[in-house]
Amino acid sequence: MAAGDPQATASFVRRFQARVFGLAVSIVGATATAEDVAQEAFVRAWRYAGGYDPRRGAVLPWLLSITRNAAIDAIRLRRDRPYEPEVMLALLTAADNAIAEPSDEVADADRIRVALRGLPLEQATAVVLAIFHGLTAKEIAERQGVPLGTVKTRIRLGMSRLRDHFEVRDE
Amino acid sequence: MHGLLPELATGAAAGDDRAWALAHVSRCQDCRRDLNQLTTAADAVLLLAPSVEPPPRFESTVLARLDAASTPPPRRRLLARRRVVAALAFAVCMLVAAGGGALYVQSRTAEDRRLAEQYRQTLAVANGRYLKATTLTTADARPAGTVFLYQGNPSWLLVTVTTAPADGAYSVLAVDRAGAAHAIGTCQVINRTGTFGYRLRMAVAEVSEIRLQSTDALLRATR
Ligand SMILES: [Zn+2]
Repeated sequence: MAAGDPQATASFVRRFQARVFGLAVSIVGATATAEDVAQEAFVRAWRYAGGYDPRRGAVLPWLLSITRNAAIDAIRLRRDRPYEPEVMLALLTAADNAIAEPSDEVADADRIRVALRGLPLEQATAVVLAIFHGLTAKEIAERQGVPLGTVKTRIRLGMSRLRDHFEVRDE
Repeated sequence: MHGLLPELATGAAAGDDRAWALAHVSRCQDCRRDLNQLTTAADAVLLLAPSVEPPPRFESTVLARLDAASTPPPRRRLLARRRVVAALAFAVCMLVAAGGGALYVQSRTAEDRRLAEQYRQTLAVANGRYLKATTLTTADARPAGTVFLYQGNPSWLLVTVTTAPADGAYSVLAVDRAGAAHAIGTCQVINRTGTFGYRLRMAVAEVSEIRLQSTDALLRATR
């Protein structure tokens, strides 16, 4: 992002705010908290702009991973309860939340959605609890009352299937 | 080792597992490539969150916050910062690998790109959200470098000196909120520059100031 140019900063915010706010709402639920989280995400993105390599292309995933971290911080700090993983999964795999502008990211999102739908429920749940709720394997095991080894296996199998469906373009 | 990579990519790896895995990844090219792919896939899952328009005042509030955060760095400093970021990524991996203790980190420009990418992963994977950066200034308030403080396990600090007033050995001290100075180590500034990483044995929140003291100069970074 062009940190030095107010015009460019404004259009950057305008371009991505619905995605950032949407992710924040998906994780923290409450709108007021989500607004804080989304603001914080832009501030952090601006601060960490040096860590973003424009030649890699995908600014949106980078920005969303920052948003996710800010949301998880908010959850931990305020002890807000995020959506149940089942609700979250339904939200994520719904067909019609596609991005308006055509881009590589639409294709990426479509592929990962299909892959996520194809996972056994317990693998998809473990992956979602880790990625969106920021839980460690141990916390997931405690929450679901299953052995730690089982959770590790679910994450490993789930992620390797997601990865296989999701061919990395630029490696 | 391979079993831990999906946990690293999703953020599900904790404590010792994470430290150990990151240390391995920093040395192993195959695992780095795998982690890259897994992280890309994990990042893509975030794309599935629906778009929601924020309230109308959102954009102006964000712009006001960005404006207040500080003056944006001009292009030249942004490039310098990228180099710092690369050194930082390297330091994270080295500190994790070394399990603490002091070490000297040489920034290597040729590897900047790879390290910048690693830094992005480190931020995403290693709870980099508690990273704080503060400017190191000379006695006459000129910028001399940057101090990065990272609250984690282990906590560490990274000092990058870009324009010291004098070369030589500097003692690095952390001043706590009560005003007591704790010795952290020493660093050797050559050609007015240097990058040094140290294990921080106190909470970042407890640090009120980092001081670099040589016989010729005093550099300070306050939080
Ligand atoms: Zn390896």
